[in-house]
Amino acid sequence: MGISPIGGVVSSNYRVATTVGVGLVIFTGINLEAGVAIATTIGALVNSLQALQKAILASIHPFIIRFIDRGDYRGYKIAIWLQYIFVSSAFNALIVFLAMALGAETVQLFLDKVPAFVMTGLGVAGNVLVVIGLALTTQAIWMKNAFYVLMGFVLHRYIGLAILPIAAVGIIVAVLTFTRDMELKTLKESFATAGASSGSKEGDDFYG
Amino acid sequence: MAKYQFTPEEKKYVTKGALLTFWSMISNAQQVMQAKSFAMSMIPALKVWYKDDPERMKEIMLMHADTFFNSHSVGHSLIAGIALAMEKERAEKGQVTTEAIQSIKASLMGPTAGIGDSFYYNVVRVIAAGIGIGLAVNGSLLAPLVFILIYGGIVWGSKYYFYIAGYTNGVSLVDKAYQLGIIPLLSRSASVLGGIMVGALVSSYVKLNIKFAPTFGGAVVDMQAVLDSIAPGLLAFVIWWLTFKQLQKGMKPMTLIWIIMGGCILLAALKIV
Repeated sequence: MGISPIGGVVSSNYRVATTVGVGLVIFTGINLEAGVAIATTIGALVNSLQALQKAILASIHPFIIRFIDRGDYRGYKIAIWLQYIFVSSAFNALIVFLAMALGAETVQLFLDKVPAFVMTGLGVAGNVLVVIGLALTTQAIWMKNAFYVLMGFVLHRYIGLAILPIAAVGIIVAVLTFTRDMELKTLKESFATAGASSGSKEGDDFYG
Repeated sequence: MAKYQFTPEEKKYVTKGALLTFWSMISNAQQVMQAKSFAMSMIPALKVWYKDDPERMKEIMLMHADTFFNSHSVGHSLIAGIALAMEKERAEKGQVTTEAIQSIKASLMGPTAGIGDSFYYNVVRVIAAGIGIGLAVNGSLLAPLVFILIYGGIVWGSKYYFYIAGYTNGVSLVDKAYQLGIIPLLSRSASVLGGIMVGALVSSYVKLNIKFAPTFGGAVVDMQAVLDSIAPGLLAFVIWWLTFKQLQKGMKPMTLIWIIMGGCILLAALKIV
């Protein structure tokens, strides 16, 4: 099991497995190997259900957002906490509890009743849903052309740069843009002072 | 840089915001990651600034809560502090745009996630665990507590420090930019950087592989291999573009969630993904 997920890549549910394994060995006195074996099974079980958990989290998000629409910020905070306690945390605890009470095999058998494509589909959706948030961010910073986004995509996917070097390239491009804009601005101002008309139009298009 | 002078009221809402970012990881949703807790940390300050304009506050909250945000816990606090400083300028003088704030968020979240993960997970946590394990081997019950205090203390301490640092330095920088009158220009170049980073994030977060491999008279055509030979990751980019276009046309994010989840289950049933 990978212990350290770098940059948000989750490898396996080591938290649940650790808790279960240590708990079993300490409280029931079974030997270490047996404890690890049971823990890995349950850890894997929890992981296979993570797709479902993610689907729930994704679908309740719009409902939590509605608290903002109503201006109810207290309700918003409470909703976030409830989501954390019940969906993010108690969900795993429930699976562990069921696995302990009924045996991991029984839970697995029950899971097998769910068509495999549902879990596969939800798993795939988990990696695609993020596109919504990214598209919303794009919408907020949209500058009428997709070339900058394409550039970041190409740098990451084809040139294989890590995020930090891409940020460095991005900063360079941003500084170049800034320098050019600055020069254009001073140029415009010198024209404006040289000419008779005032430069009051300047900058208006930035505020909409 | 001279030490930043807080007004008493400002100190109150900034401290509240810093404490709220301690819970940066509690709101997870696949489509926007930590955005809801990010927005949550802005509530105390926004409530003061937009006392008389609740509609504007709603808009700003929605903008933060319903766009993608994901970083390491400490990076999260740093960016929340900087974003708050930019919001302050916007509330007081109104030159900073949504575009600029979102660009800065999008540009910083990736790099800080990488640095934070490497440093706090792989250095601080390992050292804290080492000390804890050392105690545990000697049979001390304090071991887990020591681990939690060292690791948690350092992470929460850093979160608080970086939030305040992000805010105070952010305010000074934005003030300076305002005096120089270059905020519109800075916004433009920030969104260049933001656009590039969004592209990198699309590439690193969105994953979709096609399993569909039909057989024609014994010859297997692996569709993913075909797509990869045209352009790897093409699907991720296409999906991003389609989603973006639909949003531009006014489709609700909620509808998109159902379309994507339903679509993926349907494709899985057809054994395509």
